[in-house]
Amino acid sequence: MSEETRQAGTARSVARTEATVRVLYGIHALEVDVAGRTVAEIRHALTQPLNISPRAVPVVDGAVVAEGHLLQAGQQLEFVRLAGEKGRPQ
Amino acid sequence: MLEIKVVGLGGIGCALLPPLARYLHYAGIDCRLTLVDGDAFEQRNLPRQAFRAAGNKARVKAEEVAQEFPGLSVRAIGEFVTPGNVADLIRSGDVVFLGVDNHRTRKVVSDHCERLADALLISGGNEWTDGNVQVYCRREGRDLSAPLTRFHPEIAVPGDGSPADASCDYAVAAGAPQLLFMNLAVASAMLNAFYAWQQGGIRYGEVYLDILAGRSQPVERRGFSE
Repeated sequence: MSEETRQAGTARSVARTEATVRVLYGIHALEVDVAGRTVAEIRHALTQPLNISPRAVPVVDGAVVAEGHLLQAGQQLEFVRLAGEKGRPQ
Repeated sequence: MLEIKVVGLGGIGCALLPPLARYLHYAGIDCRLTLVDGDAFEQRNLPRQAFRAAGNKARVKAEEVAQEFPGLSVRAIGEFVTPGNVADLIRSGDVVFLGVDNHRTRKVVSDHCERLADALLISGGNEWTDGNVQVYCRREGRDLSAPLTRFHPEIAVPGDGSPADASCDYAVAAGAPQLLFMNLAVASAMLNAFYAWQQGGIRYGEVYLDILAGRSQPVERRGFSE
């Protein structure tokens, strides 16, 4: 994990409340104030700090959603990290 | 009798097998262990894979396990898993440890398990210092967790080759080596998942690992039948 990612994981995350959205990518788990934003907006904001693959599928509370899906407070958004293969960079 | 299949005896499989066999033997679990791999051990495997003799990986490892644990039922199948033989290799009720390095085989095995009434599929893979383990549990014709393909388009529509033409060795030759410690971490997570299942409850469908960060992250993958 890069220093930039570490900083994003601490500086941008907030304490878990009913108003936050839990965002997962691989080993990363953040509580962020992004309710009302779309998946695409969140992906754009976190792609660089978390190194999210453009191929990572967005899943909200267990269901695959579109990039235009609006996040609600209390939901969990996961960008599903690609499965490990053979030492290839993702 | 519990049928346990270990598919793939490369870096992950070689790390997973000794503690698995030891556990099964000393826990007195009524089981048969089947090792499946069409590849052969070569000297260049030694940095990450321990073996006592050259030859087919499944047969060499089966011999090693049989010598160390004489009471354990173990057999070898020296074949790669393909759409043509998967139904013979994996049957309802099996526990499958899948340690392969390609999405094509993962899809073949996962798709097949979706057609079985009962199966536990534990699949591990890694990059250099990170990796993941997926757990697909199926019981009485229902998915308790998601198949490997459901949230992973790279597995659902694999763009890589078959194990017959692309193995870990191929990756090493292509300049994408793997790290022994990462193989070990993934193998350990796979065994942890098996133990959790054995104890009657596994609460995650996937777990991510990063050995540099020293972290793992389990993720629930809710099961549902369609």
